[in-house]
Amino acid sequence: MTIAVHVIEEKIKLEDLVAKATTSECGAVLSFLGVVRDHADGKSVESIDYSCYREMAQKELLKVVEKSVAACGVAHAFVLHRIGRLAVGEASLGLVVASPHRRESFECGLMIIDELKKTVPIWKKEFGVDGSYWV
Amino acid sequence: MQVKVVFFGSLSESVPADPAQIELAVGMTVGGLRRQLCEEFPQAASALGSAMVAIDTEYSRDDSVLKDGVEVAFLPPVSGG
Repeated sequence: MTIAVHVIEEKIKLEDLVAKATTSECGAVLSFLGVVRDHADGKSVESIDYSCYREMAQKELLKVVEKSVAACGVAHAFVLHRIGRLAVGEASLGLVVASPHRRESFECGLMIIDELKKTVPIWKKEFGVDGSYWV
Repeated sequence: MQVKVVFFGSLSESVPADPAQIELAVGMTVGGLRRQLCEEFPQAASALGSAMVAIDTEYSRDDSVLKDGVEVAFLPPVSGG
């Protein structure tokens, strides 16, 4: 089993993580990008500034991934969360999960994203033509 | 005793003192500090009142007792992903 989580400022690239997760016992390798979209709640969005409590974010993200991996029984899980000002189309979240069969990977990917949105101390401030606002 | 208080998310803009070293009475709880900050920064009282609090990067409760030298973080509802 391999787990890795990182809060980063650089662009998210999944290729290396997909290669790492592609091991002989895994028939499913799931990759996901969470991307800044151009609207939210009826307002236009041009960019989002992601900020975090770095020491705690890394720890809480690891807790979420460890819990999800144990609950779903996957072999590998890698998560990257990007911090800083991101334009529409840029990825804020990268996730790669691998398991012998597909269901566990899909379930684990969903669980990780749902849970991290509850506890990992990361915040976003959206910027659009109507101004900026904390989400 | 002294604690370091840090604010994140919207609170980083609505509370002028960040980070702040605050002198507290021994035995002060998270809830007591929260009430003190609400009085000191009324413009941020609503967000301070609903914020989660972490002591040295671990989520805590209002009845947690603070110790000298800890870092107390006030965390508005998180919105990562």
